[in-house]
Amino acid sequence: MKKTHYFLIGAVIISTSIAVYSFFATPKIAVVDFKRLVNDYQGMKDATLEYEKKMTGWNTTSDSLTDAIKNELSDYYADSAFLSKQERVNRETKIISMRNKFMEFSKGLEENAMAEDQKMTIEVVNQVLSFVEKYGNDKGYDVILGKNEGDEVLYRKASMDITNELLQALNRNYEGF
Amino acid sequence: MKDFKRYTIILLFFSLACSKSEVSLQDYYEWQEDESNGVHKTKTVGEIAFDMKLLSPDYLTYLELKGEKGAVTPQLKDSIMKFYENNLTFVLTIGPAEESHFDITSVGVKNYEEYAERMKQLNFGLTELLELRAGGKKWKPVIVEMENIYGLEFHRKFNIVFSPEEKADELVKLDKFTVMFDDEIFGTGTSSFGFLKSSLDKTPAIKF
Repeated sequence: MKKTHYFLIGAVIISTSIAVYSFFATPKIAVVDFKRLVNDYQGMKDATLEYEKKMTGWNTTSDSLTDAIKNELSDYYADSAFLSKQERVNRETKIISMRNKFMEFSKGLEENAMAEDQKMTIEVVNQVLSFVEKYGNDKGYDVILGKNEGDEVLYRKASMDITNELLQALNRNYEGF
Repeated sequence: MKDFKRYTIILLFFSLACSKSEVSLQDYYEWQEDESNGVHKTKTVGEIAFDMKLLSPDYLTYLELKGEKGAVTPQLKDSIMKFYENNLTFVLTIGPAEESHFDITSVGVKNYEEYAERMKQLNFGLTELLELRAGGKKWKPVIVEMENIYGLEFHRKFNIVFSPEEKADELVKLDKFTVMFDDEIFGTGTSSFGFLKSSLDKTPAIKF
């Protein structure tokens, strides 16, 4: 009978201690420099390179259109003294049409570039956020705060900043090994 | 004579120790599923989950010979195995992330035209989006095939095969390689799945 009592008292003490500990336990919190995390992420670097390649291709097309207009214009000036009125009108119409096409292309280019940039950023940020969620979960963090330009985090102990280790893990995950 | 016996026993011991253990198909699946064995990689971006498995030549040979009615001779098995050893075969599963429930063929799709476009991309567009990279070289898949689904499933599976382009053994010789998936379909960016040849070598053989 005595033994049962001791056992019950022990069980009550242990469960109460666990409950008190869980209640007062400090949540595991870390801070991350999110801007640096995204900028130094290899996925971001590769995506930026891809974007630049696309831009170079578009700019090359743009340059060749500009050159074609310039050539047409200089030919027109050179020939203008020998052209009939109708021929002059035809050549001018052609140049105006070329210029309009160029303007249209430039506008499209700007829109494409902006859309591509936005798409790239969203993709990369989604990759980073998904990884941070997995990392936080695996490492048992309760909260991972992002230190951004607005700097909502006014103070943090250096030991709480996990940017470097998170970045390492993120890049390892990007490599796929 | 005594020495000869001793050496024979040692040799026998080593050859037994080095030979691959044979396991049942069920055990093979379990081994393959365990990510720590290195032939199974997973990634989640947003609401989309990717699951890439590197299939062993032994498993592919098993699948090919499964329906064989006549006796499977060691020569037949070896010749099929040799063929698969020179290629790299993967299965990519694309599905919703753990807590999400949607069919990937229709997520984000607004009308029938977009659905038709999605199906076209999934059936024929993945070849352009996949690439094998190793030591500065790149290979495009020779086969990308979406598996038929006979039921209500949220995910889709793709069989992917990379073959040598110049030398027959160029893929066998790779120590490590990465499959890149540039996801233009669901907008999750580029995902890489890295594998080591040593992981493939450790794959257990399947009992035929």
